[in-house]
Amino acid sequence: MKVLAPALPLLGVTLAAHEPPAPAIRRERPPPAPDEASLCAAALAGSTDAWSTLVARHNHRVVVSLLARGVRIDRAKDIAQEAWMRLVEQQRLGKLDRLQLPGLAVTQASFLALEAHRRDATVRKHDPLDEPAVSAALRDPQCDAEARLLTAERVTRCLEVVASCSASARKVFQLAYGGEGLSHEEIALRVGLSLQRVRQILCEVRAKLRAALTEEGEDER
Amino acid sequence: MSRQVHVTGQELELYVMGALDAARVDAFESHCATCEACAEALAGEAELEVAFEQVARAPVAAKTRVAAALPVRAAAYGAAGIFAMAAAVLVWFGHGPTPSAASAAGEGSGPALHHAMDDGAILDARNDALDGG
Repeated sequence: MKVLAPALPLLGVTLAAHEPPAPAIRRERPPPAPDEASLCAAALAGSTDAWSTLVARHNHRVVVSLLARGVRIDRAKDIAQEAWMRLVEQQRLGKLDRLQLPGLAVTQASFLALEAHRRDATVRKHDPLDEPAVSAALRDPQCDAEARLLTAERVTRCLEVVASCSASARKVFQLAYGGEGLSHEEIALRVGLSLQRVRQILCEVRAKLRAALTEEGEDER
Repeated sequence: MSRQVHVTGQELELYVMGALDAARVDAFESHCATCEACAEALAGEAELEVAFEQVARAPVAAKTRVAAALPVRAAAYGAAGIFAMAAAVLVWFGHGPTPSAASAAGEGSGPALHHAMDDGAILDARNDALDGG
């Protein structure tokens, strides 16, 4: 039957009624990630799984925020870990009524980094000015790294750069850095691009922004 | 990646983006933990990453203002370009000879003829051009 099938349409015969229906081609998509609000609600209710998911989703961001403040990487990872443990502890003690991530974890980690730095400074009294950059960055943990980094003019310049990118690049950039905590895989699913393409777009936008910021920095000098 | 070999800019970027190959993360982190220069470079890259978040979270009003300003600026640049081109065309037809004039005069190319012409000839040529001649 299958051998004859290509010739049959020429004879005006169709096999549609006799052929078994072709199986529908279905792309296996991973289940959608739980949204941030429901995860936070579950974590506040004491769900260990929810906490694990939130830590996996936001821990890297916490580490990067510490790195941006001049904390060394091994130390940053330890501090981030401790920050999460403190948050879980606070939740278990009923002291946590709201969970906004990664902001809360970043703030907690900043306080811990400051504490650690002060402790170290006390131990090394002979050299209190050691690591001045770290000291300056951690002096006021309420003052975000962001506030130190970009002035309003530089933000505007960066916004111009982003606005000049393609619509899909803008969307990818917004999803990656807009605070939803989406992984690159999740972004790829949302915008219908491959993971590789998403990363390529991000690298391109970053390169443009880096160039703009470098240019601005040179102008300021 | 041994301790002697510094991390690359691309690795730094991928790491802060959370996109560095998992097999390379340990070596990357252990190198940055011990290498002053790479630790500093990593801190700089992390600062940029945080700065990009600031850009992405900028108020919607600021984004709208910038997006609205861009077409105006593009139009201004476009108009300036067209004006410059129009001015160049005017200068060319106003001062330069037409190819037919050059060949009729038996002289070389336009610029060479231009140098050979005195002020009166230039004026005549321009008037001819304006008259469509």
